[in-house]
Amino acid sequence: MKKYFLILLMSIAGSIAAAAQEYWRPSAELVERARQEPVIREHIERYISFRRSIESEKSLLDIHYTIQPDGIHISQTLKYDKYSNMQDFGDHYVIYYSENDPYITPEVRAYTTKTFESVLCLTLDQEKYSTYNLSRLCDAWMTWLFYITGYSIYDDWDFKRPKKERETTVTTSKDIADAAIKICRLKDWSRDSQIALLNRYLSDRTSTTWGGRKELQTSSQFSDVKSVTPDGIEVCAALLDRSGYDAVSNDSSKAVEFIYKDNPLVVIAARTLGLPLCIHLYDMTRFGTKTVFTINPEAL
Amino acid sequence: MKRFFPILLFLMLGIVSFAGDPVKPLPAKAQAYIDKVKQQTRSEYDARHITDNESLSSSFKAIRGTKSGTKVTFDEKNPEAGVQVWFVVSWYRMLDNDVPTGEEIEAEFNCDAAPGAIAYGAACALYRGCPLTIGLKPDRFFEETGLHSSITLTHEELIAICSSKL
Repeated sequence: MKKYFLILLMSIAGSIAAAAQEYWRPSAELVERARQEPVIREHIERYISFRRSIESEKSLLDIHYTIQPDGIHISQTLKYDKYSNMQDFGDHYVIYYSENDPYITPEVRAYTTKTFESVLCLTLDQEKYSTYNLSRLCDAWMTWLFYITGYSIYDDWDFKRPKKERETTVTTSKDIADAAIKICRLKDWSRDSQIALLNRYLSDRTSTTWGGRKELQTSSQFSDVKSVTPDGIEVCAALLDRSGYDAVSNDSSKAVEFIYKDNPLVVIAARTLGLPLCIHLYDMTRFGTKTVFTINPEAL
Repeated sequence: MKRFFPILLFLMLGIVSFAGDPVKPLPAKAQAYIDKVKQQTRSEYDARHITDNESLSSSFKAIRGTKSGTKVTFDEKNPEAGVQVWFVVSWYRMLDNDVPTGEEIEAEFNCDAAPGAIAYGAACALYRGCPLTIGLKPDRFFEETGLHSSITLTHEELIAICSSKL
């Protein structure tokens, strides 16, 4: 009896812990500001055009999208589906609709990557699929920003098949957070966990071409993030000409402008997470010449 | 046939011994250093690289503050340049002088357990009778600024350091 009581107690405790799972989000005002950031629209457009370029190779889909207050609506019409099962494209698979194959669920095509562990994504492994496959369109920082904006992605599939009905799938920002928790093995989705996540993926904010695809690159030319901690975000920026350094190093607002232009997500992240932004400016023509600014989030 | 076999064996032994000998005669302690590095690295790297003529390049244990991408190289066409060990460091760490210290680099010559790139490069240089260069290169802006830092140890300096690590 005691044994059952203990098990019961543990399961109740587990349920309470799960229910208390925190999905931290900034204030409505900051969410709205994040939504207005041009980088969000650019990101979506880049993603859509990237997808279209892949799809058009096989002329599989017609894709149209709109950004509405509740989310991104993407309509896709499967033009034909003469293929079946899965095809290997090297760095990703394409899974095609297959009426007779019970192992492919859901019965639509979707991408999944081979290296999904390294970035945030939603894959078929999680028994949920999305055309907004995060590993293929952005880095962890972009994924996080997308979460912050609170957009959902509505994928409206039209199969043009006699036996297959129209289908809409929804990926909410909570789905994105859950995927991040699972794939990145986070304990929760609190503000601290989000800060730790960004700190873990500092390399996403360097000059490295993301995923080997320049068209999807969101990273910087002149700045790198040194650290993201509850104390603030440290970013280092290199100025390759002396006059540029002199202009930027005399004015903290110009320094923020410089970072925003080169690496907007850094400024947006500091503002949205309410973290001070510490900018280290280096004159690359005079080694040893350096200026440091610390800017409060309210001023960003 | 039996008569030829000992001759063949003798010749083969001669070739093996030649392949295993350093280019220049070495003090016993320096030779012992090479042998120890070979022994220690057997499981991690291909120890033949120490004695063959191929370009050396591999992933090695990083020193504090360095990033992946460490390279150990030797150019057959330019043997005077010696063995080169280059570490990659964040550009801003280099500018802030937040890089491995002299003591940390010196400690990397130890060959007691899992020797890293420096011990490996040192063994190569001892074997080849050439200098060893240890350098730090930034991960960005190298071409624009030429920012880098390196130290070259002569063959004699190398013998002294490596002998002291046994």
